[in-house]
Amino acid sequence: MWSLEQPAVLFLLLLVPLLVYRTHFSRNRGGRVAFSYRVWGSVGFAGAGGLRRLLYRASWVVFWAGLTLCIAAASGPVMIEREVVYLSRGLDIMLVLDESPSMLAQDFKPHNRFETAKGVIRQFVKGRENDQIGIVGFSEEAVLRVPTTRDYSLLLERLAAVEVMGLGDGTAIGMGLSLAGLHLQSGDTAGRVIILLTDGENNAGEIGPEKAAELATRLGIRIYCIGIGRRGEAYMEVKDPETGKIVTGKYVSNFDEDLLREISGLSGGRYFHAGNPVALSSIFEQIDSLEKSENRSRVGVRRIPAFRGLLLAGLIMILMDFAIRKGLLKEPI
Amino acid sequence: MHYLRGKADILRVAGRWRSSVFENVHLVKTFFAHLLLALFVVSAVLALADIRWGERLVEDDREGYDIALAVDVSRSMLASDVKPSRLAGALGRLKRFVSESANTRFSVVAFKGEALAVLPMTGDLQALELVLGGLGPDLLTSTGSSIQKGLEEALETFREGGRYRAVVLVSDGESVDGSPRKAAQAAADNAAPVFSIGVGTAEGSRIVLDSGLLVRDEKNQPVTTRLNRGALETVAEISGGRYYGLNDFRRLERDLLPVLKGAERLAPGLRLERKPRTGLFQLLGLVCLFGLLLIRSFRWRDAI
Repeated sequence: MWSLEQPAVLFLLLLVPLLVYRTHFSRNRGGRVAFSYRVWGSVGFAGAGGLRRLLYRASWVVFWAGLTLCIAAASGPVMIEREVVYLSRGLDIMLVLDESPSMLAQDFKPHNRFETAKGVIRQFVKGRENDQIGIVGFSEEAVLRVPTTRDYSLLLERLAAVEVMGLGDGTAIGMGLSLAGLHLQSGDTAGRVIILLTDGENNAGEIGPEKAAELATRLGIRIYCIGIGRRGEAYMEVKDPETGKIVTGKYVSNFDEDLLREISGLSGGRYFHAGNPVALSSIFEQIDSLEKSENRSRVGVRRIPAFRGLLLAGLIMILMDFAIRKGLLKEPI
Repeated sequence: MHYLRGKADILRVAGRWRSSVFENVHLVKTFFAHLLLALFVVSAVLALADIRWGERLVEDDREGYDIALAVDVSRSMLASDVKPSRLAGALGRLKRFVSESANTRFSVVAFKGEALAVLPMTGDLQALELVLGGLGPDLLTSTGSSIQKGLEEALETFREGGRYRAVVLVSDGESVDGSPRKAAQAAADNAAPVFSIGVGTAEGSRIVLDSGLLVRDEKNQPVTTRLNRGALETVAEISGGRYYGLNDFRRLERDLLPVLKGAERLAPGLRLERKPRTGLFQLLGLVCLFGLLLIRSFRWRDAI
C-alpha cells in the first residue's frame, strides 16, 4: 500500500501547467530584441531547421518530465507494509514422516498414502500461525528435512520435494523420534510437539521407539502418533530410484497399535488410526485444536521509502536536458 | 523569437554598439543558471545519499533477534592465509557465535555467483551446527562472488516482524559481481544492518584445492587472492552496520546487540534515531530547479 509523507509538496505540481503555458504558449513569452529590419536586407527570419526544432522540443519535454519527477520524489512516497507481530511464543512442532516404500500403497485415493499425507500436512501448516514447524523423515535412516521454522513457504517447498525410498526401505521409528527430540531441544518455546505418521512396525535403527519416546517425554515433548493405512492387503506401485523400473504388487499393511498407543499415552499426546484420507484430515484437525496456543498479536507497520528511483530519474532528465542544450544546440544556458 | 545561440549571436542580431547592455544581462543569467544547476545536482546527490543528523524519538518494541548468516563459498575462500582456510576459520568462529547466542534465531545463506538459502530462520542450534559444518564451494555451481545476491537472499529469510534483524556477511570481498550497494540499501530499508566480516589478508595467498593442485588463471599462472575490504565496508556503512576483520570477531559479538537496539534505549518501546534529512535537500533541489526555470523562461528586461 502506498502513501505520501509530505503530500503538500504535490501542490507544486499545480504550478507546472501554469509555467508550461507561460514558457511555451503565452503571447508574452520569450525574449525580445529590437533591431533594425534593414540590417538583414528586408529578408525575414526562417525558423530553425527540422532537427534543431526537434531537439529543442525534446529538451523541454525532458526538462518538464524531470521537474515533475523531482516534485513527485519530494512528496515522500513510501510503501507501507503491514505485518502481524506476535507478542507470545508459539509452539515448536516436529512432523516425523514415514518415508518407507509401504507408504506408496494406493489404498488412500486419489494417489497413495504418502501423497495424501503430504496434502493433509500442507493444510495443517497453512492453518497454523506463530508456530515453528519442522520435518524429520525416516525409513531405514532418519534425516532432518527442515528445522523448526516460521518460514512456511520454504517448509512447504521442501515438503513437496520429499520422496519415498530416499532413505532405504526399513522403518526406523525410534530413529525418527530421537532425531526429532534432538532438534527440538533448543530455544524457548510455549511447548514442544511431535506428530508421528507411520504405517509400519519398527524394524530398523539402533534406538528403539520406547527409548526414544522416553527421552522425548523427559524433555516435555508431547507425541501424537498416527497409524496410517487400512489393515490387510493394499496394492502399491514402487519406482526403483536406481533402475527407474516400476514394480507393482500387493502389500500387507500392519502397524503396532499398542506401541503407538503407549508412546503417545506416556508423553501426554494421543494415538489415532487413519484408515482413509478423510480420517487423516480430521485427525490433523483434532491435533490442530488440541494444540491451540493462545496468540497475542498486534499489527506492525513498516515504512519503506520509495523516492530514490523517482529522484534519480528526475536528476538524469535534468542533466539530459542540459546536455542537449549545451552540447547539441549550443545554447548558453 | 527565442535566443538560439550565445553572446556572439545576440551581438550579431542587435548590433555591437549596444553590446554592453546585452552582455550584462547575458552574463548574469548565464552565471546564475549554471550556479543553480550545479546546486540542484549537489542537492539531489545529497538527498540520495541518506544523510542524517540530529536525533528523534521513534517507537521500537521489538524483541528477540533474527540473524541471517550470508557466507561466501567461492573458491577464493579456500585460500590458506587464514589457517586452515578462510572458510574453515570463519565457520569455526560462526559456530561459536551461534552456540553462545541466546534468544536468537539464525538462517544460513551460501553464495557464489548465485545464492542459496541453506537453512531457513530457525532456533534449532543443532541444525545450525550441522549446516555450518557442511558449507563449501561444491554447494553451488556458479562462479564469481555476488555479494548482492547473497544479501538479497539473506533478506528473504526474514519472515517475522517484531524482532531485531541483522545480517552477518562473511566474505573476502574478491571479484565482486553485481551491485552490493543496491542490496545494502535494501537492507537499510528493511531495518537489517549488515555486519561484514572480512576474511583473509591484504598480502593474500594462493589457493590450494583438495587435490593438492594450485588454482591457475587463463595464462596458467597460480592465482593469488587478497582480501578486498572496499565492498564489504561500503555495504556495512550504507546499511547501518559495521565492518570487522575476522580477528576482531569478538568485537562484533560485543557490538551487535547494542548497535541493533540503538546506543540508547531510553525507555521500553522507545529509542533514539538519527533524523533523515532527505526532505531538506530535495526541497533545496526543487527551489534551484524553479529558479533555473525562471531564468530561462522569463524576460529580465522588457525589450532591448
